[in-house]
Amino acid sequence: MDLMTKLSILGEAARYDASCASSGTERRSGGPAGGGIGSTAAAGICHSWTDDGRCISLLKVLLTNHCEYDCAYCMNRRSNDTPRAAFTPEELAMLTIGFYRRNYIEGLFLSSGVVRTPDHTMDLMVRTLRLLRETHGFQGYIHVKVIPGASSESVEALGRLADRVSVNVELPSQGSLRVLAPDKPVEGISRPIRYIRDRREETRDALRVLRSVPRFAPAGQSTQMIVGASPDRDLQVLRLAQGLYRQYRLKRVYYSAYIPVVSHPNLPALSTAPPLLREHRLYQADFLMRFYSFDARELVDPRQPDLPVDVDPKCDWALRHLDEFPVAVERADRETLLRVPGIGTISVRRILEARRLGPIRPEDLAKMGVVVRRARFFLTCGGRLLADRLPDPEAIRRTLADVRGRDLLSPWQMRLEDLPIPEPAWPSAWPGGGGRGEALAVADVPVQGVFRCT
Amino acid sequence: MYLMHDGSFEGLMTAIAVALREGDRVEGLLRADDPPTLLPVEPVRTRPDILDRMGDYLARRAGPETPEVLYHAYLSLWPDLDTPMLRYVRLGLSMGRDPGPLRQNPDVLRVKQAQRKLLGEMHLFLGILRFRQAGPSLFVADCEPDGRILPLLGDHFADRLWDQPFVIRDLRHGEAVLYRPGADWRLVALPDEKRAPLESADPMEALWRRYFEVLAIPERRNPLVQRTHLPKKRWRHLVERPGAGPDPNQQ
Ligand code: SF4
Repeated sequence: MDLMTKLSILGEAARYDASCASSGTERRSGGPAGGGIGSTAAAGICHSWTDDGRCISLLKVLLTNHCEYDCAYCMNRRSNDTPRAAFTPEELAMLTIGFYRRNYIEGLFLSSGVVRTPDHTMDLMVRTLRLLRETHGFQGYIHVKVIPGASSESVEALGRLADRVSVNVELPSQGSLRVLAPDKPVEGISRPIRYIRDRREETRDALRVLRSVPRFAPAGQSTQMIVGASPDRDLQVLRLAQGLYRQYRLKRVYYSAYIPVVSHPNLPALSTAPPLLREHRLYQADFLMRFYSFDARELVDPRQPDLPVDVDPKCDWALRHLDEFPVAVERADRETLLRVPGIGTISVRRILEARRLGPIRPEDLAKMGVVVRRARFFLTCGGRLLADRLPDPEAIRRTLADVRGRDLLSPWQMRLEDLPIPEPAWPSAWPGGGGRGEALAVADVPVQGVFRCT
Repeated sequence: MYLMHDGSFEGLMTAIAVALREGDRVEGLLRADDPPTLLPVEPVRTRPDILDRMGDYLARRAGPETPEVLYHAYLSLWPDLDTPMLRYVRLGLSMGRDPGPLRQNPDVLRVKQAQRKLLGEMHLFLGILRFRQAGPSLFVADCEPDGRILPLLGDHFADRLWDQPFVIRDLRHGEAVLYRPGADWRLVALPDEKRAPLESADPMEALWRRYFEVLAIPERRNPLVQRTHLPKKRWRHLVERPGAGPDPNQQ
């Protein structure tokens, strides 16, 4: 089978995995002294956007789509009749480096179906990573997916080679897991998640006393949950996500709207549309938990077990707590401002900085990045509410409904304004100082010959 | 009085330095290639050593970020930004810190917006620049950015692809980054005869195009989001073909 066919099959088989980020580690190449090629950037870099609007950052492929397991929701399940392929470690290393040298990707995201046993599969993955890291000295980003049921030894081996490791939770409750993924023992998922957390904490502690400690998944771990394949409510999904963030120190939880790929008595019919809006709301709630200090219980509770559809979860919270508004832009603290609809992390930072230096007038708020149209019912400036009058809550709700939101935003990546990245650290660029290039003035340096610099 | 400089960054910095010395007599800055004006104009002679001195001075007397803000804003090529930059500097010196957060001030807002635009564009191109193999060991990438981002791209690629000779051509502003292992990267003017499009039969390109196609999930097709991140005007120098995938709604 030629490489093109393999890439088609194994790229397509990996496309349902949601994670795309390449952030979290920063590593310079080491240059000639370090050998090898590549670097990683602290703020993730997107290299392209597919026709579904998702960012491509990594070469995301399966090592193979052969699988011993029979998870109902998966294309690669043993009982599904689909073309199968497998990369050799050499082919994959060649592809990764070839793409990397042309700046198509930040690195590799490797996952796999289960070949023979989980540990055997993990061995194949470790071999591929060794080839990349050790033989080719590849310093780019590597994210690997741990096979459920893998032993601690093989998780250890992968963690030492990869930047990020993930174990997919897949389904938000044990009951669903038992019905839809009968071969995957619950313990086979939670054990590696715990192991990775413990090893990362050990490494961090050891670094306090020792100068050099072998790295272990420096960019942390992430996971993915499928929503819409099982009857689980948002309440279960978000509580579990919160637990994963707080107790297991995960960096990211991804949510993936289930797209029916196989028909199965326990799954939605093939004609069911993927719940994209629900997925979008879960991402918004996830952001609120991670960067806006919301607790899952503030967003959903047993009386309202699912996130609202018409407005985003922050608006919904604000509308249920109208007695806590309006707040004054001059005095409200960071946490309070973050809870105002229409204000994001960047605009809060700008407000806090600017109000120390001078008064803020209502017309300045848009310059700080505040979406005044949304914030006006919740914010005062100079002692006056921004809106001319305060309509009843139902009317506000209608005004704030974001029907367009779902078309405009990539559900898997929030708007820039919502992104928590501080201002990224750009290369030091003051000409003449700091940078390595003799930058600036387009000097008349002779150009002949340089286009053939062999 | 208005000061006129040659349009280079050194020229701008010299003009700002002279304006600071002259105080309020200087109302604004002009460039030599601005349309003729009836305003009282005085040309300044660019001082080649100005960058170190001004960079140092501004970092100490305004804020450590100030020199970089000015450089980024300059590279954005936004029109009529020189006078706002002068006022930005004056404000910073009077406050004894970088005035960047004071977005209530229209000059600050414009300078900061120009900087953000340029850095955003630079960040986009860190990802979407495509190198094509143009010889046994030469890689060439072409781009047509709005601002002059090349001076900010050199470090990233020279670090990442340090063992691979490469050229990055900015066909719009006629400049190029040249890099060869073992030497620092350089920014040079791009002569006309070096602007020809590249004939490439790089086998990796077909693989990448194919991979790009299969990665999209047809049920989630979303051209609007795709174009929000990757505007059509950026497609020209890509290898992949955005928007060419099957549209399930059209069948
Ligand atoms: S183990 Fe993974 S690849 Fe195999 S059927 Fe289950 S989800 Fe699919």
